[in-house]
Amino acid sequence: MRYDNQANRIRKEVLVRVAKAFMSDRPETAIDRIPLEMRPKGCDASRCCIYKDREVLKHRTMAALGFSVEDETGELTPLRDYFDSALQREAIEVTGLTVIDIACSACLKGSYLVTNACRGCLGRACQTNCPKGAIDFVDGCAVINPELCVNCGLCLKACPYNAIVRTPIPCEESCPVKAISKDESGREVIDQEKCISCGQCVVACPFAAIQDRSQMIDVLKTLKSGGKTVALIAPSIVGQFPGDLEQMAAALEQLGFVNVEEVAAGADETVRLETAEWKERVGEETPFMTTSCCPAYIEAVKKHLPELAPFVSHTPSPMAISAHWVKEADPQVTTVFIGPCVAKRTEALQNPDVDYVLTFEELGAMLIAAKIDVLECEPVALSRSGQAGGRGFPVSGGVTGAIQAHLGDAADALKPVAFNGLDSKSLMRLKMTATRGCGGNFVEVMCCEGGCQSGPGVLCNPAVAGRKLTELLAES
Amino acid sequence: MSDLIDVEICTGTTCFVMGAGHLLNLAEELPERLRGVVSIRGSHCLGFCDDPSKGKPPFARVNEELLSEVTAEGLIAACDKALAIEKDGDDHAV
Repeated sequence: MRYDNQANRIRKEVLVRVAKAFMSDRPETAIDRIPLEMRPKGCDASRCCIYKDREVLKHRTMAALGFSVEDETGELTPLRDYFDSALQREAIEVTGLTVIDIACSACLKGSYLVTNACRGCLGRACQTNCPKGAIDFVDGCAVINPELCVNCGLCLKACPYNAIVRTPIPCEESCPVKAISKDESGREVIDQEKCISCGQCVVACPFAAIQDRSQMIDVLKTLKSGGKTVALIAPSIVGQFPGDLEQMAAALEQLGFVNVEEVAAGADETVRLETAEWKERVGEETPFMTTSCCPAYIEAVKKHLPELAPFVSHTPSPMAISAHWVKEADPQVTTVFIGPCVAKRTEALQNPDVDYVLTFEELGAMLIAAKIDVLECEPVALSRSGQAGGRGFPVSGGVTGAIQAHLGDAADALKPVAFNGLDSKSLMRLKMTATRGCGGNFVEVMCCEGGCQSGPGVLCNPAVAGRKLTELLAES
Repeated sequence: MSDLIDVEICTGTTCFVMGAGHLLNLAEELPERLRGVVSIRGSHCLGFCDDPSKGKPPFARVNEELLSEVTAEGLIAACDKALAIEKDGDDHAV
């Protein structure tokens, strides 16, 4: 449910249409027509009318072209102009999530709401229990005064009719770092100084109002130009597409990639380096060490948990290692990391070895547009493959398991602690480990609960992908 | 007892990307009343994605009835309908 809903499907449909337009004979016209074709005259509107739907779709198309709402140059600027400037883009200079303001429904601010199930009873337990005197009775029904309400929830518990409900603001609830909040108009705005690009709000918003700047056009352009482009596929790709890894490699080659590398191989190297670092540092130098592979966690440390920085491993992430190997062998190659993660775009922006980052959604859109069916592809060998340790990275506990396996007989010395998913509470607990210790000597942090398999850009139910990964690990 | 209700989910790349990847967990999400009476299988591309008149992906078939823009809830509803028809058929047979 969380990953598959109409909002999510609309976003994917826009990506597919943009990729198809790019591959068509008259891309500018096709791009301009996307909002009209998705909401033709006479069709049902998702919002107040098809004209508003089309305007929202225009902004979604802009995001699919790599722009944010803030980049809008004028309301009359046609999409083809954005398409043209997307094609002029030489390199990615900016990443980050933005809210499509007109798509944001400005969810009700008050978290508690009295519904029409209120009977205006004599007992008035809600009023009696409210510590702030925030409940009045108007026309025989309870009304909460938002100015006085402190969101304690006692009225909800007290009402014998269950007439009071809690109405959360999904994006704000999902944000681990309180980076998203309302402006004076009631619409949500992301504070880029606080945002860690984890993408939880993208998944949470039922209006799909939060968008990420796509890099799909940049990759399509690079592939079309015929330059040597290498796909670095994240370990979490297992289960995200039909077919196996070798068929996936064939599909990517059909798209125009010259080589396909499993980042699981980079993850194996991360395991070797991180194990050595842990042996060296933990004990005398530091009481514990945390993982460094999750880019949203790394951003959280930079922006919100500076006291934790000395405990973070210096080992490069699997993506960084894999990309470095490729660039070292041939600096002229363009590297494209493909994964489930939005925060990897931020990590890539700081790493010259990674040129572009695609999500599985974007890769899926490209395959659909190019009419490549992975299941029908003849398997080809990958240019670099991972082992069981690295392949196990995308599930929570995977990094720890790989390090334990690498330590072998010495694994008992490792006392692992897991932070499986970051929210405001676990972030607080994480903050406290800097002063109070963590109760172990190795901390694995995954921003997405369940691991990368539950990332914001996944296409498959994490349980199904998990089963496929288990099968692969048994063979690895 | 009649045959199992046949649920065939298209797992061609288009359907998979547009949502079928999430539907493959359907067996775990079935309500009690449908457990044991439904057979769920993924299929190679059924070819409907090339024909806009068939609707939008993901596609699935429940006892040969074609469903477009299918969701887990939609599949469960279609299984319930198929189950009701089968029961109805049994009554007539008796």
